[in-house]
Amino acid sequence: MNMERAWIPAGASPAERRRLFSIWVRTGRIPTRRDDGVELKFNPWHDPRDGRFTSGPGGEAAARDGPPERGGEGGGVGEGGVVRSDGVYRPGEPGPTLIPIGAPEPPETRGGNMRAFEDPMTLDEWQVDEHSALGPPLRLADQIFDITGPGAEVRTALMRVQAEKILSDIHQLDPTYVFQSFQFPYSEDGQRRLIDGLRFDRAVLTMRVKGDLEPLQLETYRFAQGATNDAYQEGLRRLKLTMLPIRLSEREALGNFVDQRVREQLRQRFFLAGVDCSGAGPVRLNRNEAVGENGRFRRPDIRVGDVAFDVSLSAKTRGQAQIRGFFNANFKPSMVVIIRPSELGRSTSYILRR
Amino acid sequence: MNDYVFRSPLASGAPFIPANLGELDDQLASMMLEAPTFVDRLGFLPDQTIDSRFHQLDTALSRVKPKLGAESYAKAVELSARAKALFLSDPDMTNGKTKEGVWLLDEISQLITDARRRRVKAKLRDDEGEVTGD
Repeated sequence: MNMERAWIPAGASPAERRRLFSIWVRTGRIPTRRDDGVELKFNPWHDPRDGRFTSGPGGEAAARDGPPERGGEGGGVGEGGVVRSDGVYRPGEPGPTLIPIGAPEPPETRGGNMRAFEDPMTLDEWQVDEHSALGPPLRLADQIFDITGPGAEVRTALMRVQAEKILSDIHQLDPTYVFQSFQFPYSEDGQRRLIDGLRFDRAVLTMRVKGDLEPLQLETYRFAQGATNDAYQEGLRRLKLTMLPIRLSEREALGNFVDQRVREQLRQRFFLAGVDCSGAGPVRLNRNEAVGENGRFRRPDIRVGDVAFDVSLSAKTRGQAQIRGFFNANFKPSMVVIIRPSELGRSTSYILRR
Repeated sequence: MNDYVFRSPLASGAPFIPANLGELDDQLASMMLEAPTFVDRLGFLPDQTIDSRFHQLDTALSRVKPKLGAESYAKAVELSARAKALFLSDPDMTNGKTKEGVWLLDEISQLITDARRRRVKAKLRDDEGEVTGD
């Protein structure tokens, strides 16, 4: 698409730059801040005719104002006696949109489906804002797709917006990326696979082009969480059928199978995206990480840059020797992410920070 | 039913082959959770089949043959062929042969574990210069 260049303030942090870039790609505008740092929001219900703020379809202002005085494009009485409001301007649209008074609220403006427009790109942005004795919990891996209420057509429209936004980001990073898709998937599962695939590719390209590992850290967590859940469920099922060998105990066997399965699936996932995770790069799976200079080491399941991930059936705390060992490793992780099967509870995966 | 398959332009098209004993052992455990059909449940490996999985396994075995030793390598290849035949004869997990095949994969895993123990005992180093058994 041809858009004016995004002029992002020079002093913005990498996280802020990503946020502003994402808003610019989506709306064509960079949010404006006052000198005191307050961000000015665009109000889509601003009435350009008289400068007043309406309350949207069916609201008090609509009832108070009554039918608009002028007809034509800006308003008037429509078919069947339905009174239309004046045109209101939405971000990113070239002209006013006619909103019938009393009509159901369009799903893309507010309410529970605002998450459909979120595009988290770091583990910090994926945290759940609630207290936990263990550490800040993480959202479930597929909550990026929490679109409730609307039917398939509206869901598809929202997912398509997400996919196009991510693809646009990718092309900003790599104009040679050629994605061929003849038809946007209709099923929810297909749409999720498409968006997950594009998100992972965007994260890999962000690492390659900008050297920024944070998006890949988030996508690694999301993929590993899905793989952990699958391995746990399938492991439990097969153990009940006595279809898996046990050495010490069922729990020990289940834990080992989950660990190995997640590592193996991640290796395949990274390999598909051209990421080498067996050598000296920033992505390492089950490799020794030196602690000090005396030959001691720790072996995190997964390491992406300065974040270590540990797949576990049990909760782990900072005081445990294994976790202390991770933080003492020479690569000085900024955080250790504990990934546990979601079946064990709502916020079972969480972050331990340095 | 999967109606859409994402194929990344970043993919090379070549299959992933485990590069050392540890990665091979992880693949064996993963296969035990996929037998007998080896259909990918996560949806990112749409072309995975029993044939592709055993191709990965057999190719990886040939890569680590020097570390396994000739006798263990020959045993592992024989176990692999028998396991695949068992899985093919029990696609719906109804006649007990899937379980037999899983136990044969576990025997291969034991051969790998033994080889890793020997390497650690002999202080043989891996490709990163560490004594890990790989």
